[in-house]
Order: sequence, then C-alpha cells, then structure tokens
Amino acid sequence: MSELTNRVREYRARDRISQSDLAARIGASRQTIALIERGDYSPSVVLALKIAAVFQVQVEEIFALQGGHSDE
Amino acid sequence: MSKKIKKSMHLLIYLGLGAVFGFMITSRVVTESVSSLRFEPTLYYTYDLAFGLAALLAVGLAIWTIVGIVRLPAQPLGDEASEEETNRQEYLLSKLMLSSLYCVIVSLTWLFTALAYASSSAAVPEDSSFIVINLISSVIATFGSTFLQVRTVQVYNRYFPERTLDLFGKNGAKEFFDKLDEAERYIVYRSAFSAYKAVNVSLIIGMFGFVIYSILVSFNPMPILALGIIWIIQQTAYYWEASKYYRNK
Repeated sequence: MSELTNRVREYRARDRISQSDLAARIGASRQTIALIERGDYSPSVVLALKIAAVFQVQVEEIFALQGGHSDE
Repeated sequence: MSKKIKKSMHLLIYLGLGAVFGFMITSRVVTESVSSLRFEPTLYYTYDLAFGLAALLAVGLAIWTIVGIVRLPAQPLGDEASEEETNRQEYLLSKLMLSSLYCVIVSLTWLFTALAYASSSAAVPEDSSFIVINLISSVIATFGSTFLQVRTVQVYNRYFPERTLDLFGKNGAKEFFDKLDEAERYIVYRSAFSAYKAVNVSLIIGMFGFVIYSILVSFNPMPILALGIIWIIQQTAYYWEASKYYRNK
C-alpha cells in the first residue's frame, strides 16, 4: 500500500522555522506538525497546501507517495 | 510465530479454558469444596482490607498527581526550548491527566462501595464506628481527588490556552472537541475507537468473571444485568451516532 512521506522537517530546517511557528502560520497545533513529521498523520489537502505555501514550494515537493500512485 | 500457529494456539487455549469452566460448573467436587468461600477481605472489621486497599490506592494516586503537578513547570516552555523538551513536558502532562483521572475513579468507587455497604443489611452493627469513618474518608478522598483534577486541568489550560478544557461545563467535551484541529481530532477518533473495543472486551470478561463469582461465592444476577445494560447503551450510542450520517435528510 502507498504511504505518504514528507519533507516538512527538512524544509523547516532550511527556513529555520520551529514547529510552533509553522503551526501558528497554518492555523494548526504544534502537535499536528510533530505528527505529520513523524509520519503518524497524513494531513488534509488544505493543510498540505498551507504548509507548501509557507515554504513557497509546490505541494509535491513536500509530500509524496512512497510505493507508487496506485495500490495495484 | 506464523499466523496459523498463533490461531491454533489461541484455539487450544480457548478449548482448555472451556474445559476448565465446564468442569467447574458440572463438577460437584469443585462447587461443594468452595461453597464456604466468602469474598470478605477482612482483618479487624468486615471488609476493612478491601476499603483499606481502596484508600491506599487513592492516596498513592493523589501523591503521584501532586508530585506531577509540582514537577511540571507552571508555564509551558517557550519557543527557545527544543522540540524534545517540549514533547517530554507534554508527555508528562498527559501522564498527570491520567493519574488525576484514575484518582477520581478510585475515590468514587470507594465512596459508592462504602455507601452501599453502610446502607446494606450486610453492615455489621458492631462496626458502626468503622463504617462512619470509612464513609467520611471516602467523601474526603472524592473531594480531594476532584480538587486535584481541577488543578490538573488548570495546568493543562495554561499549557494549551487555545483549546482549554471546561471540566464542569454542560457541553465541555463537545466544546473542547470543536477547538481541536484535524490531527488532534484524528487522535481522538483513534483513541475513542480503542476505548470502544476495550470496553466491549471488558464487558464480556466482566460477565464471565461474575459467572465464576456465582460459582465460587454466591449467585447475584445484578452485576451481569448491569453489564448487559451498559453494553446495550454503549452500542446504541455508537450506532445512533453512526446512523445520523446515513439518514436521508
């Protein structure tokens, strides 16, 4: 089964943004950012787009499906 | 160990348990030899050991909660703190919430048991002083544990001012849920489903336990009936909520 991977931590380090800062900018909690980074939670499209907007990159650069795009 | 072997092992265990249980019910040797068994954990006064254990648990949990409140800084760490430190602090806070809740549950169980014993015909008139002291102590424990829980929630609310918890509010749980963001709601959904499964299993184990109690001590249908009613209420609440989403508007 495909798994959603992300590079949120990497981009945060690049832009020197703390979890709390990122959370405040997208209107979520710090725990949500921590969960996403650990891969314990797949964010909604809205949240993923908001995160991408903060880092000013395309959403696909941060979130990707590991193991292909289908379950076949 | 493969899944097939695990399944076979489980089946064998269930078969063994079934055999033991069947033997206990049908064998007169077992029922007659335990017919004199009484569940009255007692040292000096009737049931004093059981109530003493409840008191010990309540006091232990209260001390644990107080230590937790004292150890946790009054204010959350600032932005300069590392993520590991913040995570550790929030983990401690979650443990604190749990211990204060356990303290309330144990104290309430103690209070209701003490109340039931004091009002029942099983209460020994010669133990009246013990019964009164036990009742008063359980009331104090209940107030004390409630106070500790309120203090714990105050600490929680200081840590998370954007999603404060109103313990005694009419719609406290709903209002709290509305304040959560999507990942936190996901955590609540996963935790609630785990709790739902755990309650289902606990109810069956509880019913089975009371059957064993009836065999070993004395027959009492009320606990089994109460567990059955709780099970019906739990399932009805679950399906009622779920069916809302399938109804034609």
